[in-house]
Amino acid sequence: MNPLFAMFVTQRLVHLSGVDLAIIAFYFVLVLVIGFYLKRFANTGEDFFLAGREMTAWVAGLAFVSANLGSLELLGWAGSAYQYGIMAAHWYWIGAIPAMVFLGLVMMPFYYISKTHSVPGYLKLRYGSEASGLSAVTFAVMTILMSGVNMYAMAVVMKVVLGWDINFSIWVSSLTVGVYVAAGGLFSAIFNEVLQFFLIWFGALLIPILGMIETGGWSGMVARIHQNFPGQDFTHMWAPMGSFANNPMGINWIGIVFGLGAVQSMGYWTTDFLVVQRVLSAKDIRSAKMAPILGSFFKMAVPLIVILPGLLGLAVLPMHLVPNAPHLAPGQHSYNEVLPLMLARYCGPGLLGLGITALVAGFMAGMAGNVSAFATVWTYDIYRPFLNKAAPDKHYVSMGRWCTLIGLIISIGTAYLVMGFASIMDYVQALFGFFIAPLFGTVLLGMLWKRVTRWGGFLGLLAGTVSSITMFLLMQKVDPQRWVPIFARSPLAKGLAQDMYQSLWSCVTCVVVTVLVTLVTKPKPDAELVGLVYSLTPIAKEEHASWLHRPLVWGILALVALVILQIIFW
Amino acid sequence: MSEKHHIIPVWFPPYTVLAELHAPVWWGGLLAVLGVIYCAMFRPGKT
Repeated sequence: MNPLFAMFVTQRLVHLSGVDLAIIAFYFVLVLVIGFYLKRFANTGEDFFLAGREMTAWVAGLAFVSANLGSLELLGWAGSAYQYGIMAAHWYWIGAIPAMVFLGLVMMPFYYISKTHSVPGYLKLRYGSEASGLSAVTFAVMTILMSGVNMYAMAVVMKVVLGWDINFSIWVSSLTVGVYVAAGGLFSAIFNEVLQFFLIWFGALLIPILGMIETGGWSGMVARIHQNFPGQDFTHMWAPMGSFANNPMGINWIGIVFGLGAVQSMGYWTTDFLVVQRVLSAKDIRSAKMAPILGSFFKMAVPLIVILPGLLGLAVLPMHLVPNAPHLAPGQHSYNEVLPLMLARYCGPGLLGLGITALVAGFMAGMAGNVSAFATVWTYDIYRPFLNKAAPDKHYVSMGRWCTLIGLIISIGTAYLVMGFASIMDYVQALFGFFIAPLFGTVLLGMLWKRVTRWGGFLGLLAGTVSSITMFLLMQKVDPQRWVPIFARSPLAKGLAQDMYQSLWSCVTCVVVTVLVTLVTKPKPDAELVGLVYSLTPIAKEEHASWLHRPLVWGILALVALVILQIIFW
Repeated sequence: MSEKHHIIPVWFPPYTVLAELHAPVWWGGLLAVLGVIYCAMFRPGKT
């Protein structure tokens, strides 16, 4: 059956009116127009891969947050809020804000001053091609696989909610992203991400507003949750964190503070090139420092449209949602469907179209982040150093354009692979985590300690990654009863707790191996490390800027706001 | 919106005070106002 027709006849939760479809169609046309309009500005490699390094702090900061605000992020964390309560907000607050401030104040100057195109590019300058090659290849492969997984997850939601054919969703949405990113490069990705950020907010903000009105405010919502789920605590972030047994997440405060706050989030927000690339597009170093800090304020607000709808779902939905599973019984709905269900509860014709557009925009923002980062890493960190060292700039731009489309096609292939083997989805998501935590140790040591050697960096990264994979296999496959209490510190530790401790130990392994190897190998001469290491890099002071324009001031304010939020929802 | 648009009973508008709020009207109006302000401030050619 033609997918265009199939989308109207399969089973669905809501029916879109003409005006809803018109809004969605208008959005698709708009993003394409933006892509083709910006094509004229993306002529050189710097333009295509780093948006000409012309972005203001606001634009770079919004794109920085938006690239992370993908559809899985929206749907998945709303579902987690339904499942775990407000504890899911840890991933938006302690699991993001300190890392963003740290990126802006400590790490960004080195990325920016070294004029690197990417994180693997920084590793090449700091350590050499071994660490850079390992990081580039793993990042490129994982980015494309993740992109396919996200694509499939989004298509499944569209099928459940709207009855859209899965093939139709995958091809139309991803080809649209491919066309506008291939045309305008990072320029196009960033401008569309800013548009998508506002669309996501305007499309989803009505849910918490109307939800609060319906339940009578926060206390009314809490009362209803207690009524619907007696004896369970969904509305405190830290109080139930004393032990693994006291909360539905099966985690304790050490896992959250050190595993999530100190390692996993630091790894993601400071070394995942998907998000760092947006900040590298800033027009000067002050903007590059400000962008993630401004982004931290936006990130801090996202629980309003993601976590709160999940909590409201606990309070107002007439049915209890169930864990995500490939096949649900008729009438059952999974945790991941809570956001679309709330959207459908509160939004009529027009607003429903806007809300669905917000979900599609989230998907596109995440997808564009993946393919633009993949194109850059492939072209500058794999193709140029290893395959074609001396081609003209135009050749690399052309390679970037083709890479965008090829990466997209491979992602679509991954999406179909996942469709056939659902369990692959879990493995791909776990795989991505293998590389992020050790990479943070490698990058941070390289920036802060000039003694770290080429082989120290490479072998530390390799050891951290291998240890992460080994822990995963031991805890998940070999003998969970034996290994979970050892690595995750309690037999009661559930999946998220295991992930946090796995990140923590893999980063520790990376750091220990890096230090040990460094002590027995020869360091690089100081002259080769200028602009790459803290003690050898002159960083401009901000004495001439007013306090309003100082990243340090805003970074402190972000951290103070974070502390206040923790106290309020303790 | 009528029953035909929805399959399970979670739908807009729920049988609460929300039905009297006319959210589509004021939310749509708010977005339109924001859009007009944005277009006026960042129209092409404005220095």
